[in-house]
Amino acid sequence: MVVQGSVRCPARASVCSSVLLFVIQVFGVVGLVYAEPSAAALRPVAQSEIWHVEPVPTPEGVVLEVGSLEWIPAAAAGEDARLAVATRRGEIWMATGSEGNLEHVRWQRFAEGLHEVLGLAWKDGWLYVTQRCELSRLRDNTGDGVADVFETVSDGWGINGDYHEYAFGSKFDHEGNIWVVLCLTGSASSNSLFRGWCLRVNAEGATVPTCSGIRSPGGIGFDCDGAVYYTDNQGLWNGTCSLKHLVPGDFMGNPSGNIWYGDAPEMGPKPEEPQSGSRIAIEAKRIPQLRPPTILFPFSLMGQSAAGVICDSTRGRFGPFAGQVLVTDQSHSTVMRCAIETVDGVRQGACFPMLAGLRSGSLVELFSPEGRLFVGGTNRGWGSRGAGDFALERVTWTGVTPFEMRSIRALPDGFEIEFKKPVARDLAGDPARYASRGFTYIYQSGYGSPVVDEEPCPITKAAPTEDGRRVRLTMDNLREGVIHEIKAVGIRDEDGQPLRHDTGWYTLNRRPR
Amino acid sequence: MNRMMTMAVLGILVLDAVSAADAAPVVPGYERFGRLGTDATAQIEAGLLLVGELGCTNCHAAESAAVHLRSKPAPDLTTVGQRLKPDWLVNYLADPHALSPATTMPSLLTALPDGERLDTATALAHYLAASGPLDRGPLPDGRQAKPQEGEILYERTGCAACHGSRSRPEPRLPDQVPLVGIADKWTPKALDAFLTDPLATRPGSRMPAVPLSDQDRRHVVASLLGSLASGDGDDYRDVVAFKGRAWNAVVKKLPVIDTLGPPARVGPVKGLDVFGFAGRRDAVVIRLDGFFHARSAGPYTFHLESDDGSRLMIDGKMIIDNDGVHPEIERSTTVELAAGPHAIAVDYFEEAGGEVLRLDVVTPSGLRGSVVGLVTPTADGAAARPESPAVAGFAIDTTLVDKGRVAFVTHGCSNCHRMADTPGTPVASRREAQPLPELSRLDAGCLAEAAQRAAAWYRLDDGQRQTIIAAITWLKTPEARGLPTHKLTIERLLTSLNCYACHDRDGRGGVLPTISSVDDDGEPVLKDATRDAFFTSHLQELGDEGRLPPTLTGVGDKLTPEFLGDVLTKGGVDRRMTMNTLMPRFHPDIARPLATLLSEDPHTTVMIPELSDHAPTTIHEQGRSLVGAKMLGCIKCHAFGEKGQSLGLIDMTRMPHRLRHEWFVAYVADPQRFRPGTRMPAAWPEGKTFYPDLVDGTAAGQIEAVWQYLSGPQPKRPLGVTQNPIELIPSERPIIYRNFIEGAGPRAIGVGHPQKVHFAWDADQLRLALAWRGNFMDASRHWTGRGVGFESPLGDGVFTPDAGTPLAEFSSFAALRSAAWPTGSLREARGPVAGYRFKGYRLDASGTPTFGWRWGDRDVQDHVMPAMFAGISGRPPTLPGLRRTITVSGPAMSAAACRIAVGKSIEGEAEGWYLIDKTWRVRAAGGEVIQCDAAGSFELRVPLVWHQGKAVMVEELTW
Repeated sequence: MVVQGSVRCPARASVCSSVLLFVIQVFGVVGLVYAEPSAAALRPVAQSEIWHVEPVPTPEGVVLEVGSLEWIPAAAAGEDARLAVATRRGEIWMATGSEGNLEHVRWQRFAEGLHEVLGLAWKDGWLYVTQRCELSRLRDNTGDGVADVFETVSDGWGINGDYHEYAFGSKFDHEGNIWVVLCLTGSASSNSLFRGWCLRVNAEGATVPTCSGIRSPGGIGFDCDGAVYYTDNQGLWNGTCSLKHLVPGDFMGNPSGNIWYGDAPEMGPKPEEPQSGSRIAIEAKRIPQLRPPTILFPFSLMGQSAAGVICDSTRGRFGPFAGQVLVTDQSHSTVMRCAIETVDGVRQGACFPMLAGLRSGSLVELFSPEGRLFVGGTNRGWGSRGAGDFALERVTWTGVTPFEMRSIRALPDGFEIEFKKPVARDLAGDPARYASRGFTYIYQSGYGSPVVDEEPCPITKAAPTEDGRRVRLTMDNLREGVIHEIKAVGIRDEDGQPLRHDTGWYTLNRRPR
Repeated sequence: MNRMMTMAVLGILVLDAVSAADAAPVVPGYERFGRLGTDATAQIEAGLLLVGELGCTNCHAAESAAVHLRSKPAPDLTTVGQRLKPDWLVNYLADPHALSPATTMPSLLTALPDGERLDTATALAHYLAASGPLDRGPLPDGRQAKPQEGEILYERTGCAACHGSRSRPEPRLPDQVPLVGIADKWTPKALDAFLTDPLATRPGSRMPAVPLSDQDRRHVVASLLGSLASGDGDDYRDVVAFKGRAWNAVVKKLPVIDTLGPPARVGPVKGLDVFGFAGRRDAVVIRLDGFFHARSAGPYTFHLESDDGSRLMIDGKMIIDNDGVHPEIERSTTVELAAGPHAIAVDYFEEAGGEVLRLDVVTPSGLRGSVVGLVTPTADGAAARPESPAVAGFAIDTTLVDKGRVAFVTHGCSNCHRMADTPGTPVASRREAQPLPELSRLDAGCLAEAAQRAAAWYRLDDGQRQTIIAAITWLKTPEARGLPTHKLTIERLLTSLNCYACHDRDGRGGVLPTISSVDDDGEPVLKDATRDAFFTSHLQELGDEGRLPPTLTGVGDKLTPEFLGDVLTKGGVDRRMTMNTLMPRFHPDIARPLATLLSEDPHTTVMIPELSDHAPTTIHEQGRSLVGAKMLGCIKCHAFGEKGQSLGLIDMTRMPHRLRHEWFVAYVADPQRFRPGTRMPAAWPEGKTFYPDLVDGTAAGQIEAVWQYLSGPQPKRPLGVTQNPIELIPSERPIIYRNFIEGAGPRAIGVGHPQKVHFAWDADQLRLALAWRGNFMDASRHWTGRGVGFESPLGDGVFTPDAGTPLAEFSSFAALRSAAWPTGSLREARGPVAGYRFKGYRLDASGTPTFGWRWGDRDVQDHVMPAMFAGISGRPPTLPGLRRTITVSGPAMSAAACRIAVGKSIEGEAEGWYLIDKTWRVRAAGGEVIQCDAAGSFELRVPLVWHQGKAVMVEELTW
């Protein structure tokens, strides 16, 4: 075991020596844990310097296990927009004043008695609510702030009493549809109509089967161009958690729900059965409807339960990653960043860590009109690093731009990293300061997968651009269907500051030609 | 058993074994790892394994090389006569490879002339059988043993890992030892006893003891032996024993068959499947004719069981009369029969209801089995049929026993097998061989390409022969005098015990398939792919961790030496509850040294803080807080003395006994380091704590606090193990609870009222599904943990007002009064609305919902409110209940009704009330109530009366 640098002693001297040894023995590569102490200026910027994370006070005595968030526009000039918060216990609460000083947030309960709400969308005076059993729309006709009309818009899917049969609903798309993704029964089978499918429902209730092959979604949302993505979780036919792009007619990879093709004539023929034990890239060549995941999140390196999906549409008010897709992870209580590009008609891209240490299992996220990110969630039933049973937090950008990789782009012979700040070009031109390896997961009918096909990708050249904003890495052994881990360990910005996160993971579905 | 018979049986068995003609002994470790060996070292290792597993050193002494050889002890034969069928022993000893192609037992008789070989095998079998007696009866409660259950257990609990599947189409892996002809070898009771403790007779533990419950083990026996285990004799399912005739007739007693006229069916009957033959299970009379072959003269007892009547004729004479309409009744008779064929006839009839026909026979040797095994359609049919293994006779001949005793020592059986003529005295061998390192010719004797006289014939293939030669050659070199490394010693032991069938260690063995290459079409080629399927979990979402036996890499670092000993020698200790595979138990003579070797694995060392600044009670309290639901929530997944609300993963209270303290500390700090891909989260990511105020605010201190808490005397249960009720109590306004409610379906909408009368509306079947009083609902099932299952109402007096959707249209008013109510799901999920479709609900000012649904092109509103009714004479002055108003809007209908009750009993009472099933009352406020008789029950229907485009029906319920 090699210990790099020295270790800063934690505050309490009485346990210092034992902790020091403990850290060395247990955590191995200490350099990743503690900064080199020689110059304080050389440490990466801390999360708290970039983003201000505050808990939103929740209504007294209420178990606010957040299942969805939506903004309700101000009813009249001078009034505040309200934040609607739906819960797994079936309530919807409205918060007023959540953009301001959080001590003054006021809550009112809008509805109760709903069945595990995992989707909220506002349109024309109605609040559309995706609950386990149906898509409903709610309205307050009497003006007392409490819903009194609960209309069923669509109940065009089955439920049989299995807890795993969740339904996640999106906001409205450009065409006026809500996209609903339906978990399988008991995580491994499809015992009720359209379990394992995505349906589109318009405001009048017309329900259209849209994609098959879904296993266990954790959330659904749009990128800034309106393309629809959902997260699917490690399990049968999912070697790890992933972000998947939903295109009508596609098969997303888990064949359990394909028994319902007979009920979905608009979807065309049922896809061929995938070969268990294969790789998704191999099967996608054989099965035309099979769309490979846009981004595979390396298991346990980038979370264990991918959940909410949203794009940073704040045009910079939330900071330096405008336009990127942010995905929460329930288990790790984090928010991850995804920089997505399209190659050869297929979406792919890189994921990076972004926010950590949230107070509960982060399940859903929503940007406020003023560009703050609200993250809510719970760890009921599935543990999370954040220990709160539930939490609602507000994240505000402080104005500090960290030194980070902004994105990674695939090239025919390597990757191009774009940095948020100009790099020190002498370091950035040294290929030895980068490391890369490729690995993937088995595409199989069993649960999850070990890491397989792991091979190094030797970096032969690192070429920074004149402005120091980008570095082109030339490397060997690029493989389609494989996650390429790209580490920039020894890179500094022009002020000598190290990267806040030195690794990104690029899912290479198509190698550009 | 005479020689003629033996040969006849052999002829059949040789046919069976044709497919295995090229087979060689199967030593799992050799097949999985040895055949791949290309380099010299691997060849030598493979050869050493074979030398040990084939028992070479039992004859060829090899004391100087003992450190490299691990000789498999042969089965203890002291009581073999109580285990194995003597008829099987004869055949097996005459040609072991024919009966058991994978066997590692050599033949010592192959080079003898045929006649001498069979005589010797017969004598040996008599000698071995004399250590009996053998109980050939079925299992106790044999009919409770379910072959289908056994098949599943066989695949799931671990049998299939070493033996391959018996039912799947995928080919067996080369290292899986096939189970061939088990029913010929074992009796049910003997197999059951063997599986209970295989180590008693096979201390070598190559077949370890799987800790199945008695019932589960008997299911497995039943799956291996078929109906022999139950005594039902279904072995002969596909055997044609009888010619049948069937008449379609309803009778109450058996008629005289000859008076019946031409039968509806004539032909062969498979087994005793008279119903398959007749093509019906009721209103049938059947005659079966055949010939019963008595193998020897003596008393034969027939047991005839039937529902309804039956009788049995032997040689034209009725010997059992079991006539009349009755449930399963068995009648028995014993008759003396001469050896040879006897005409047998069975008459049987079934009127209606349940049906059974079973006919067993007990032969003079006391064996019971289905008569089908000894019956053929014609008198001369016996020769064409394998004899019934269940009823083959075998009388021990003392002359042959003495001859066999001599053969046992002269042929060298006693070199390997323990046998005792008088208790405690092993039989000494008279056979000697050259010591292994002194063997000069390695292409002769046991290693020759054909069987040699005075040598053991193993039927080795070329590869096996070459590796053995390589090993013996190496043993002669000075290199062989060195000691094997610790790693190699363990590897050899795990290989010979085939631990690798389930576990991996240091990259060797285990369950998961590997992609060995990609074929021309780009499809991956998997190696060992079929093994994976046998390892399952009942908690699928836990992934491989929930189903695969744990890795043995570093197991001695992880587990305490005491626990290693326990887990190897005691079956089912601290078993992983999510895993279907069971860890078997090994003989202490093998397991104890293995535990010691494993515990010498390099140990992770960590510095553990002493925490001496804190009182032990504080440490325990804070450790308990960390483990509980409010902090790290370990108990969400891990059991804590009980499963509680957890997923039932490894019990935390057992961890201090199982785990080495230092390993625990290091593992908890960074689970991925030890188990890449584990779902166990790092609770102190990157060494940081989320709780700086606890213990000393460090990860190391807090992990230690958890350990000390768990190690303390009876650690107090942490928060969150058990579930507290969450009672929903309506106080001012109604409470709505949409969830899975037992009796109201997955789309239930519970409505609780402060008046303490509640109901659940079913939005799937559009009905008032339940009503009750008292307490409303306990939401804890759905609002804690994952929320699994349906919850019943919390209160009392629960009943079902609407058996189905309450509205229906009929073709005419006459039909409305008498036709059956439409059944089945009428809900429209998609597409144009022709049936019923739920439209949601509205709350009035008091918060009471009105449910809406669409019925074709009509709109329905259903409003249900608590109400108080004036008492019926002689009862309390007021009755609490519900008033329901159904309003249908749209085009008028001429014959539509609302059904307000379905019951086994309906009694009219004063003031329009009806008492339903003596539990609840209903009346319609105004309007006609039609009582109609539906099949087996009664209904109350209220015709809808239309007025200005609406029909309004008011219904009142009390209970």
